[in-house]
Amino acid sequence: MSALLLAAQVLAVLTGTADARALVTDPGGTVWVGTTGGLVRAEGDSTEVYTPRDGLPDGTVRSLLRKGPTLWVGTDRGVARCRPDASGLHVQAVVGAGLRVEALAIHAGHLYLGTTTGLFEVREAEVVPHGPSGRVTALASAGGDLYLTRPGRGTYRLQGERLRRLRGDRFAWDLAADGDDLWIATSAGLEHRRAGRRRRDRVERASRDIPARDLRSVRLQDGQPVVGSLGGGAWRYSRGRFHALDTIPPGARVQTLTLGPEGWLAGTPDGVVGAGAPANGGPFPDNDLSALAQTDEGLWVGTFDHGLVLLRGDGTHQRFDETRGLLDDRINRLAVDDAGSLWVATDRGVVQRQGEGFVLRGLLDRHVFALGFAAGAIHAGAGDTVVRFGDGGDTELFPPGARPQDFGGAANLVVATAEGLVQATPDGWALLTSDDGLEDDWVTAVASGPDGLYLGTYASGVARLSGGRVETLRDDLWVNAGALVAVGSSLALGTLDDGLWLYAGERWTQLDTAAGLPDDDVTAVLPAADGTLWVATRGGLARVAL
Amino acid sequence: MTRTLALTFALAALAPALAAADGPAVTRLVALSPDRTPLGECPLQHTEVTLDVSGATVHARVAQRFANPFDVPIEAVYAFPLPADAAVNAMAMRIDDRVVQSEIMRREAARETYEAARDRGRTASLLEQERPNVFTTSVANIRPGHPIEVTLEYVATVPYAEGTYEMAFPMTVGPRFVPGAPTGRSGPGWAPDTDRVPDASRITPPVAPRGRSGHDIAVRVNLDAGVPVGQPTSPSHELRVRRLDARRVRVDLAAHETLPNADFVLRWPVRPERVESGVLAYRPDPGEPGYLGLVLHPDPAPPTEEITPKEIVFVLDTSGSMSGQPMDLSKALMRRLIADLHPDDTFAVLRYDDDQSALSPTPLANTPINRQRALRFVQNLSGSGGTDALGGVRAAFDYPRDERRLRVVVFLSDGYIGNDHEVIAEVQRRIGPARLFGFGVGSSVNRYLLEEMGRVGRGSTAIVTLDDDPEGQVETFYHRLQSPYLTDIRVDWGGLPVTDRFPDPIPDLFAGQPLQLRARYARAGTGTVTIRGRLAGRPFRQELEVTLPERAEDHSALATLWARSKVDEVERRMHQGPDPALEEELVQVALAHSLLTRKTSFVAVERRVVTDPAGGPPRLVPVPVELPEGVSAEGVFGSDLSLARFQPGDPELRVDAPADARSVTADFPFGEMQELHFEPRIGRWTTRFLVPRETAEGNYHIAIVVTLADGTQERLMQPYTVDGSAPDVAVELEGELRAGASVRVIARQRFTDADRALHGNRRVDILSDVARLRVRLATGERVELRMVAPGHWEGELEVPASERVDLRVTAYDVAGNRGTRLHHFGAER
Repeated sequence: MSALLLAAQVLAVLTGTADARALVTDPGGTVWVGTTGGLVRAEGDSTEVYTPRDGLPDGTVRSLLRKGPTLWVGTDRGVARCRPDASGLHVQAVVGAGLRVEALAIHAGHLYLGTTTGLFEVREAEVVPHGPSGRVTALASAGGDLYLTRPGRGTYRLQGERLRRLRGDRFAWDLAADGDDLWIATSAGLEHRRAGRRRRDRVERASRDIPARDLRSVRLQDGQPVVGSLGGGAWRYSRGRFHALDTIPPGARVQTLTLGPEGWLAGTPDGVVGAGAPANGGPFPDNDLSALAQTDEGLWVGTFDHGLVLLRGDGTHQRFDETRGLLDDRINRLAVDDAGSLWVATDRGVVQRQGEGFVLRGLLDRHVFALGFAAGAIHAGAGDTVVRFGDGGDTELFPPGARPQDFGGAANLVVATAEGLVQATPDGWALLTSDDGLEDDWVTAVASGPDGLYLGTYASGVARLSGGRVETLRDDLWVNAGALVAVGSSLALGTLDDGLWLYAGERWTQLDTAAGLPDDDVTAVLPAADGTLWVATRGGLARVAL
Repeated sequence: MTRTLALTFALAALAPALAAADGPAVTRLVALSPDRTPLGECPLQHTEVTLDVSGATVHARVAQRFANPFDVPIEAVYAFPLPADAAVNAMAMRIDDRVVQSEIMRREAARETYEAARDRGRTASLLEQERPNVFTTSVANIRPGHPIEVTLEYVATVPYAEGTYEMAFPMTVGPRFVPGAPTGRSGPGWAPDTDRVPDASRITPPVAPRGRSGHDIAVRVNLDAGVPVGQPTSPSHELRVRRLDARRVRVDLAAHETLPNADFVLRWPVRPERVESGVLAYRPDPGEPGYLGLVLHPDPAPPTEEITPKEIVFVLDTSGSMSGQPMDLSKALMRRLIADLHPDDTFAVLRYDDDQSALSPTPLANTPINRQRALRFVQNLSGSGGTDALGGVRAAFDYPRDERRLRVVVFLSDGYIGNDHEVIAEVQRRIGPARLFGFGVGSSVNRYLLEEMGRVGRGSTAIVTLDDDPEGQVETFYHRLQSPYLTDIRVDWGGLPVTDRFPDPIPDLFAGQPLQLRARYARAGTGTVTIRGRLAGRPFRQELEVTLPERAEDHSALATLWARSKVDEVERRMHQGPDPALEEELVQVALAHSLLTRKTSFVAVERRVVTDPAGGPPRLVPVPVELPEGVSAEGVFGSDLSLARFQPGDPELRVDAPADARSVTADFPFGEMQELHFEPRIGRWTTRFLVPRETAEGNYHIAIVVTLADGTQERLMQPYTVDGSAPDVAVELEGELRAGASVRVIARQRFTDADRALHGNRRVDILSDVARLRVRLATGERVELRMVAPGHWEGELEVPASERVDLRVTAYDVAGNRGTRLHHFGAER
């Protein structure tokens, strides 16, 4: 490889803001939406998205709390204290770095954080734990006490330094408080407490009549509860029973609620719904991306479990999922054959793009983890099975090793497996393992370069195979399956939580979230025609210039 | 810096499976075979409990209704609990409109009678005692369409302390850990009999999926306190209370409280000054001995400044059945217990499951730093593994002691073991001058074990349910520990002809506890009974005027209660081993008083033949029971799953739920929610998920909600383990290191403190998780080893000419963690 100094930079980041996990409405009517693609600000018809580029500690926003001019934004890496105004978000401080903050509340003058690792109190700049560890999904202050929900364990009350569990359903998710009244949304309906005592009143009984009463959200309107159901829409209590909010789709999987300027809004995994709901930003139904491929139609982006997205050159995009012609929403890998046709490896088999749709090609109901065009054909791997899809028919191959991860090789097939690198030879198969100098038998990716065959491994970096010899180039990287490509005379690889790495002329360059990537877990890398790189991560898509 | 993080994950399957609905959506109720394969619907439909409380005595009537959902005759077997001090003295069987009264017989004779009737096609029922708090009802030849109701009756005394009566009615038998080597199976339970628990298969009824045992329960209490009574309350259930007058109240369980998965606990307050000391008598026939019951409420003692220096040894059960809420409750108790230690006390904290460990090798002074250490130690505990309670008791008594201090052992456990007698005997043998207090933790504690341990340990036991306030229980404990109490109690009967007095010897009393004695008397008479003892070290004396009547026909329960006391005392004398003479004495008392014991049983046989004996024996259907509320099925049954293999990449969650379920949703502890997809090929709902790399090693739970086609829900918490530790393997060579010689290579997985902290201390064949082992010589040549047992490999190699063997050993565990170690044998270079 030539000794180039790589000056890579992130040109653009594409994320989606569909997964709405937190909602809050300003007194002025601004709606704030916490999503996995950043914080959305919706005012009238305009929306703006704030991401780590704007100072947020992380792009996934799980909780919001508005207190006067301050907006507290709970993310996957702590809480940001913001003072939004017309000119921007203005992050003033971040506390609790490293905490995934799912709930926020101000109680007795202090900010409390409900996180995936427990309850914390912010005292000055210090974050102090309260009680045992474990997920906290909601906080509310009622009757002088702080209440919290811990799914699977129940609802608790913080009295002084002690956490006391309240008797009630243990799958408790959300809270709403009004004076001494406390409402608890559970998977079995709504619970009502007043001054700490369970009411078991008409409202509780009525909530059990809600179809799909797995309630994940509760708010109050004029003192009456409004609840959001996972799969059952949203409902408001009035005159003895719950009435469906007809502005919320009846089957909506409601995660959160807010009363917007035009009516109730519900946050769902597929976006915000309701009267005057802001449109989803970005092309992706979910930012957890798993695969990339380019065909004449455009750039195909696979997601972890939300199907496939086609980004066209004209800026439009199209979604494909189980309801839109795709076999399964879980996209593991993408590949393009020598005819330019897209192949898709899903958790239920392999499909191929034909016309405007997809057709099943094989391995039905199998989890297909590996897919690639190598040795003149598309190959797919599921379990210990490898199938070659050829013009003359599909052939099952039986290479040694186990659990194929990736395919490579031009003339002769090379298979990266969890038990070594397999190469097809005229005499059969040859298996290369740690006995032969590999640092790690678990080979996750393979790519042909000008200086040999490059191998990425699960936890032991990158090696080069040339002339029968194995040379370890770097032994400390975790290379994601299939995330290794030759880019001209360079090598690009995606790693588990260390970002994108580029190798050229024996020099390494790293790009991570500090450099602008949306996430450090890079799942796929694809060279673009213009010399840039498409980089798929678990937090969105980036375009990188070399 | 990269970190070796990989994942061990449980391939989750709800065990047992939710039944697929046929036709209209119903929740099918499944009876299980001993190997937990479904047999069909549950034959026990309903249990009706009526508790008539008069003063401090309860007369109970428990009616169990069995039906036959099959089209062939069946035999139903149902293991169920009753209060440990219940004196069961009657059983009857109703078939259609006929009532068949039972007979009390020796156990073997009763079983023979029952089996003979069964084989002859007669409807029969048999009531046997397995433990003082575990019983079995067997009903043979239940015909389709002809339900059978078995009713048993018992009497018991309601415990009273410091102004409150508390009555507990257990509803399910918690899953017991059964130690020992299997020897066979005498009953339909899920555990085989072993050399240490010979009747294990009779005390381990099959456990149904939560809420799906198929039978429900109704409880009514008719309370006549005899004195003005306050409002009854229950920490375990919602109640419907109807007050009849100042002394009488009727209590029912609320309509939705029908699931028999937690002890029903009822408390009612009375004003202490209204509770009187006195004697009750029963003597229907002047020609026969009469029975008496004496209750004395000692006058309150003056406060004292004298405090005995103590060393308190806390012993925590950290077995699998404690996983989840019971463990949380235990930790909450411990936080209070540690916080409220007397400044001059020393303390130690021990834990046990499969093995034992301690916070410190010797007791610690009660300092802020030591308390913090203890709190951290407790906080890091989790429930997993088996229950070697005997080991826990021995560890407590073997622990180094300070002879200048009073040793107090505090035992926190749910008591789910099968070798109750071993443990009680050990406490009895080792207690010496120490005292043992028990905290039974959970919704369906093995009260017999915990209370008997407290009794033979000359302490007391508190049962703390999942909804109790730990603070109040701890306050009572320390109050009892540090308050003056009545010791060395002796009763002078003033010449009255009283014999066969129980308990003997009389145990010490704690503040607020009454003295309760039962005895027989030969003749009528009047006299002064004097109770003597020591109260806070000072002489105590209280007198009671007593009249023993010539004839008294009320209070018939006194006879049964006396007989039960007699049986209990005989049993206690046999804690250290069986005695044929004592056993015969027990049998004679039980037969004379129609008392159910472990040596005597009730049997009822209908005279008519109702099934064709030529058709063979009826189909045996063991009745499943509910898992106690708060107990994790995975903690008890599923702890092996965390070591299953998984596909590379993201772990996969699989849930066994009907294909037509509306949804299956999983919420992960790191804040993600996934909707599962149904996979026809494997018949499971699945999803993959990513565990964030920063997730600490440890045990976590996934909250799963299954919404069935009819809209009803099933919920469970699925555990999994994040294991980022590299496995470690130790190697040794057997044989002479001579050039050209063949030596044996032995490799064994070595378990680190991190492994134990993560997985508990289970048997090595479960803990061992090395999936692959690669061994190479310095020359690169591979050494082939074969697995001879989990965690154990062997092979051979030829010693090189240098007579030095250098081995590079790389181990891969099922989570993908890799550990490499170099081993050198032979001469130095």
